[in-house]
Amino acid sequence: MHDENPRIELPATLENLPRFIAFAADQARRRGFSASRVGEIELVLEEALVNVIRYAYPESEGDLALEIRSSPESGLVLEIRDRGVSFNPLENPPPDLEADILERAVGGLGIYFIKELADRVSWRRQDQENILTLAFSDNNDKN
Amino acid sequence: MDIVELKKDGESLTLALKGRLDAISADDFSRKVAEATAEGARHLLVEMSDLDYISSAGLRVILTAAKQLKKLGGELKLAALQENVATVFKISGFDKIIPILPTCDDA
Repeated sequence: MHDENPRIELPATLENLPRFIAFAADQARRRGFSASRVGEIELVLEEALVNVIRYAYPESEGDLALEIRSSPESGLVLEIRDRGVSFNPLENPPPDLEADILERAVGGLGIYFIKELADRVSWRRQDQENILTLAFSDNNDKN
Repeated sequence: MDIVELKKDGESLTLALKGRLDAISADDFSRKVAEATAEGARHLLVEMSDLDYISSAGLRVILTAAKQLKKLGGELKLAALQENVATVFKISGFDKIIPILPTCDDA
């Protein structure tokens, strides 16, 4: 039942970040995810949420919602919604991983981590919401 | 996150990071590095055995510190990374641009 999925909605501020992370980590642990995979889920979620917190509401305050679903194929699905400016994080260019220390662009890594560590990622704009969906299975073989 | 000063010897400083280096705590590290370089530190060793988590915000301040120290003729080195933290350095390619030692004794 959609209505029964665990969900939190809070103002999109950095100070609320730990509450979102703790909520998702707890849900992943309850589903039997290993400690190391929970750590990766926390990392992906931080990167996704920080993007929303920094960029979604440039001229106002707004909310951020996180919903947790179970999925038969991947185990855990996180859905992040905001009503801020339309932004598809997946269109961001990847970082140059071979660049020298002094030339290296500081940034772009968050989205790279999301793509590397989540099993599946998708974004859509629907009814004036950004909806980022992140799916995780409990494997640590991706690296 | 806690930052503990382990050893100070002229231009050399060893710090330990404990907890989480993330979007919330990243600025604390930047401030500490700014203070240390203002006091003359040039060779910074960061001991990470009690650092449980790092995100891109943490990598960003590590990289900024490394660049800053390099410009001043010094260097940033990291030691004793936990496995999950080491994985983040590996995925990002940061393990190729910042020296990572098995333990502080290897510095």
